[in-house]
Amino acid sequence: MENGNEPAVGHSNLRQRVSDQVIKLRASFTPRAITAKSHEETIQALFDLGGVISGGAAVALIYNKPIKDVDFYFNNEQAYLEALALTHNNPKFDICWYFDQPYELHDIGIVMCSVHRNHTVITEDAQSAMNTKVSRLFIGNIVFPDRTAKRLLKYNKRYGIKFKKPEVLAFAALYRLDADLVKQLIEISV
Amino acid sequence: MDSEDIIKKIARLLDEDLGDADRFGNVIDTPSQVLSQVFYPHNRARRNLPSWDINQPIEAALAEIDRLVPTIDPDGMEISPEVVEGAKEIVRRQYGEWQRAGGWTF
Repeated sequence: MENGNEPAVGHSNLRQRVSDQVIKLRASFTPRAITAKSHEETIQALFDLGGVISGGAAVALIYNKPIKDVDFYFNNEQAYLEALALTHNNPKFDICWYFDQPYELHDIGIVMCSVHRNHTVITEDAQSAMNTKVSRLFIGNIVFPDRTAKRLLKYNKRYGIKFKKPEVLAFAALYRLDADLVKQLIEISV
Repeated sequence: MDSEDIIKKIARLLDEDLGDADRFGNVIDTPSQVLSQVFYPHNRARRNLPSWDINQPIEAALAEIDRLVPTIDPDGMEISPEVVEGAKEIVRRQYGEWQRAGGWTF
């Protein structure tokens, strides 16, 4: 624990195990009273369970863009499990867990917002990114650097969002990103 | 199967028995704690622990900035000295946060 190198030991195994186990759980879970639903009906059902849309889908909704893949966030165990059951065979939905706020672990300022059934929450970081078209990057929240890098490119293409060069360069150095990818990221940074 | 059963099943799948301590010394005895184990990557970020992909001393991360800059910006048109220093400051600050959070010695 005190050894700074320890977090790396066996991490890929654990990550794979967790992923495999959740897949197994989903496969073995028998949904109760759940029938085939349209995309819109599923979204409504997840809202009914108390779910909240956050991340890229929330930004798309705020910008009035079509949403494809939706991350629904829950902090109630029973609702979370019901939502898993509802969507276990639907690749368009990811059911996520949160503790305090659905956007608490997001790594890009623009997506730090959430769409609830009856209202929308836009944090200062998201509002600032929408106003200035420059988004913060929260390095401490990055878990999968390749996915983060792809999202930076995606949000630039879709919404014209740029990023801050010092943050991008620090991100690249910390996670040893490929130089060609860093070039692309620097090009969309100010 | 109710939610408690499912959560216990997740715990068994994770080889983490309820009542045992996780690798951080926290006793796992509530469904929320089991779920937090299932969502281990996110939980790491929440605890402000370094990502699994970070396994280098701070000096190496700072040196990587110096190595990257001439590679990605050979003409020096895109990345100013201020940007380089800003990036290094962010790296120092992030390592500092991780060290304060977990006692890490990179």
